Amino acid sequence: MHKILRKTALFLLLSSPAFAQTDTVKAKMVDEQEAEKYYNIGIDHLNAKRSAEALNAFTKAIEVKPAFEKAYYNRGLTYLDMGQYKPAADDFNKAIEMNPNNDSYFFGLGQTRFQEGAKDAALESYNKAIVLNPKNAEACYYRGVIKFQKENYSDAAADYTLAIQAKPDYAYAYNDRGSARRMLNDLPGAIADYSKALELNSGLAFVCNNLGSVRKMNKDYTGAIDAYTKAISLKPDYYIAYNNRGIARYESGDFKGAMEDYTKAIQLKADYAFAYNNRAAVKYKQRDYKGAVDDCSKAIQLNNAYGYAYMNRGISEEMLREEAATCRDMLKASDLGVEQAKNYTGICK
Amino acid sequence: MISSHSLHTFPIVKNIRITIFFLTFSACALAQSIEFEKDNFRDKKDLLKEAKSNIKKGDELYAQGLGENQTAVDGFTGQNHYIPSISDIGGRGSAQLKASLEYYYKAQNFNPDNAELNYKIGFALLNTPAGKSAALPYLEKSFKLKPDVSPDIQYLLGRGYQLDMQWDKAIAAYTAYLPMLNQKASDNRMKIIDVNKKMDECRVGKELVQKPERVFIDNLGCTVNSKFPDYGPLISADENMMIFTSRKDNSTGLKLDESGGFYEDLYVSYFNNGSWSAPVNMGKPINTEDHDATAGLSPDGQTLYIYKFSMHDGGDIFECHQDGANWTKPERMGKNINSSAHESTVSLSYDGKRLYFVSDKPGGLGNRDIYYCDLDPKGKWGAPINVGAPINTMYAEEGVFIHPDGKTMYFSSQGHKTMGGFDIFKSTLVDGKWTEPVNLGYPINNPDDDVFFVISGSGRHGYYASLKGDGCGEKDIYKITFLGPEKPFALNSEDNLLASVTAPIKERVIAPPVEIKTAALTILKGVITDALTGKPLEATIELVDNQRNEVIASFKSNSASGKYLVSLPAGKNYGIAVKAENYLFHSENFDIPNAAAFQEVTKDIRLNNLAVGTKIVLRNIFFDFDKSTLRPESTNELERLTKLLNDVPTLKIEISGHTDNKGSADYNQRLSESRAKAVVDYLVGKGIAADRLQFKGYGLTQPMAGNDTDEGRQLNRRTEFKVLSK
Repeated sequence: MHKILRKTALFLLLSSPAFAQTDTVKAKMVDEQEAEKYYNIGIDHLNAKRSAEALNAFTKAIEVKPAFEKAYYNRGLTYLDMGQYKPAADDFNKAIEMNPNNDSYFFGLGQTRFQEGAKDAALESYNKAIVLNPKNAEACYYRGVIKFQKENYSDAAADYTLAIQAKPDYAYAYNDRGSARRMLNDLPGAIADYSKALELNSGLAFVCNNLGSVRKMNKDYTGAIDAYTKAISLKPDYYIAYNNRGIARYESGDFKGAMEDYTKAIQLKADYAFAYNNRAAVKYKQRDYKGAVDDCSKAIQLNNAYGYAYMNRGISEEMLREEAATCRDMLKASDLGVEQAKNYTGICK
Repeated sequence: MISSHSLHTFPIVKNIRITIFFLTFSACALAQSIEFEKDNFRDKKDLLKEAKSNIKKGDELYAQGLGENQTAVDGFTGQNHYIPSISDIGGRGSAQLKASLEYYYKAQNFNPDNAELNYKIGFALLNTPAGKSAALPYLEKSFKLKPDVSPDIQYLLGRGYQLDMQWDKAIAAYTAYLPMLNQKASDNRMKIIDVNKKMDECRVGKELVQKPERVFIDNLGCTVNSKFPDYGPLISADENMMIFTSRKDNSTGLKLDESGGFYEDLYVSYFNNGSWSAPVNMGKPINTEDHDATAGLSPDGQTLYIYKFSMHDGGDIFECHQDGANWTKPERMGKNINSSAHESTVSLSYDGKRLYFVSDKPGGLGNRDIYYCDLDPKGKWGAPINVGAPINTMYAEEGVFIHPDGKTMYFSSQGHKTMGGFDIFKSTLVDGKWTEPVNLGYPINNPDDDVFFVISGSGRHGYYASLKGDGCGEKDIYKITFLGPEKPFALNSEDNLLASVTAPIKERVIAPPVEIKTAALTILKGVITDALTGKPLEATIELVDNQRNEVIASFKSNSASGKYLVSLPAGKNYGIAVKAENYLFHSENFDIPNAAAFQEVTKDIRLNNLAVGTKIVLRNIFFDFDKSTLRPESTNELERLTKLLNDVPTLKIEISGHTDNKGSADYNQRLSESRAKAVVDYLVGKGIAADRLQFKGYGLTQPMAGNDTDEGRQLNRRTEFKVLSK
């Protein structure tokens, strides 16, 4: 039973952003099992993403059978789908109250808290789920995610390893462990993990992108460009990968290719300040200083706290002999925390 | 730089290794020189006659120029053991060679295909300061028409190619010339050294041109520059004033010298509202009817050094000071600076205590060298000391400029790794020794002479004179903006690092390290005025090294404008005391760490008359943390206070202590009072009558600034004195 439950849960967790986890029971063919009937109807609605109907069905099941812990659990999932974290948490807590030994209930509560941004509370719930079932791969995985977000990359990597041990085909866990290793500057380790994730699931565009970025950090620009190109072929509107490929091309001296990539990223996402900022670098290299200033200005217009864009605009303005503007931008970049820009303010009177 | 290698007479000696020329340049040998003979110009007899007459007149001048040139070259070589450039021999013979061109060009118009004539034009141009770059086509043509036109044609071609930055061709020409010299190696030792040096220069040039420096080089414009030669710029450290030499047509006396140009005068221009003002002739007593040229300027622009040439002393340095709105009469500097030899450029250290200058007096490392003199306790310049290696070489050094950061020297040299003639070099004082000079690179330096270069306090701008095609006529003043190494753009990216989280994560941007090109210097400047009337004051600005308790330097503000400028190289805690008679002194503290980049601080100072009730903050009195023990760095300030009380024996003052708001009011009151008392005790210990002194602790009750920032709290922690009666 547990196995089935987890499998279903996994499917829903990874296929929808709401991470729904459902459970099924066999309805007995007797009228007294009205609650179970509502419950099963609720599951059908939930699987079909008809949240309101699912909510209604689970509520009816609970009304008929107030001690129906799985109905609470599934209604909790439904609320979670709907982004209603308070009633979702109440339902998971109710299920836990009825059965404190079910790791899925703690995991559900953890997911709720994770999604509402209460990371420490989520961590507590995941910990409990893992204590109850050390093989709960998802709980290990999500605990790793929180630790990653808290910038505790070694502990995150350890949790991803637990998730992989519990579930050896866990592509997401490989991806995330790769990212943790990247943050720990273990680039070969990161490359191995991303490659393994792609071996398990070759259709994950973001893994291709991440692989490209680690190769880029390793100054393997050809390999990086290949990986980004793969990411783009899997996800043609992947503006992040276009921007990244632009950088790899720029670094390898292919300014024309970089220009095309940044322009494409901008076409895909008109408010993508990074792409404007980076395209300015190409224009600067091509001695189109005015064009570089314009692109930086656009990036600043999109994000007026974009310190690097101010600095880059200052660098371009210097070549246009606009000393006052250069100083203004370097001082602004410096105020916004760009250390590099402080080196350039010495000329400012 | 052009060297004269030998005296040439025509017809040419024919037993030269013509085979080399033919092998190397066989394609060129097809052309033939056309002689000025009637067979070649049967229907232009009259014109031929006129052309021959022009050649004859030209030849007379050419021979005179060549003779004078050769005598000077021989004399120089005998004395200095290397072959001089035309500038080394003061352009001897140039005037006649230049004059010969007038006739030669006429003949050349009639018959452009005569090898000898092309050679002579090429040679004359190479030996005329303003004509060097035009020589190459004539020399190439001469060689093409007649490869054996002269034994030294390859040498001259090498010079032409080098000046034109055709490095490989120059090296090839010099290489072709060497075998001939090697035939009589012992007679040609100097020439062989010279040719090898020039080949080295070409290699340096080739390397430097491949990695050009990132600079803007801008003509200062025709408001400053004129159609006459403008050169020798000097700037104040803050780049607000420029004094330069010009041979404009309003020069004092309106006379022409033997070269046909107006006599040199000094001109001044000011940088106002983003542009340089029209230069004004500095007039008498700076300028005279003779040549008056710039030699140096103190960083604050208040002391000017002038070069004046006369045959009997080889050229000397004169000094004058700005006195209010006027300049004092230039006085010849003493014998430790000026000798019977040639003294030219001068540069004063930021503290005014060391004077660097250039002299070709005997006893140096060779030709012109850089020397320095230190100011003795009596205010006189001490005995000259040769700066020595690695700055000075057996060749000439010129145009010394010591940066107000106190540790960077810029100078021009024919030695070191130049790409031809004088190049500008930079050396840094590290642990009391000058580092190996570094060539400032191309396009700052060129194959011709690059000399008399000055740089701003910020290190961002350099100024020099150059003869370029885009100028306003003759030599012009140019400004170099040093951009430093290319500033890398910061590229930004993000990745979907977490599979289950849709929000991408930004990549951390780690900025690559960049060289900080600005000078490690703070320029403090401003205007000193009477606090009540606003009238500009001539005040003494004393610069104290607080750690060593030493007065580093003393400056005066200008009496007419009240302006002052002080250079503070990084790495010291400076106390600054501003004093004027009948005024209470004013003190400032500047703690400038070694790592501080260039900054220009404007600080206008208002001095208070000795009026009852006037309060003065003593910024250079320091106590141990949380104690009332005076720190040794306070000595100078306390000594000033003692002197003031001694100078004005009737003066009665109150010394007060003030704190910030850290800690309890009671504690602060006690601390401030005991600190005020410590100062009074010091003064009593120095013999000041106790009844003239009161002390009070105000604790945190009289803040000067908010207590919510470090800066504010620092301003509030202070010692003050108040005039009770006078």
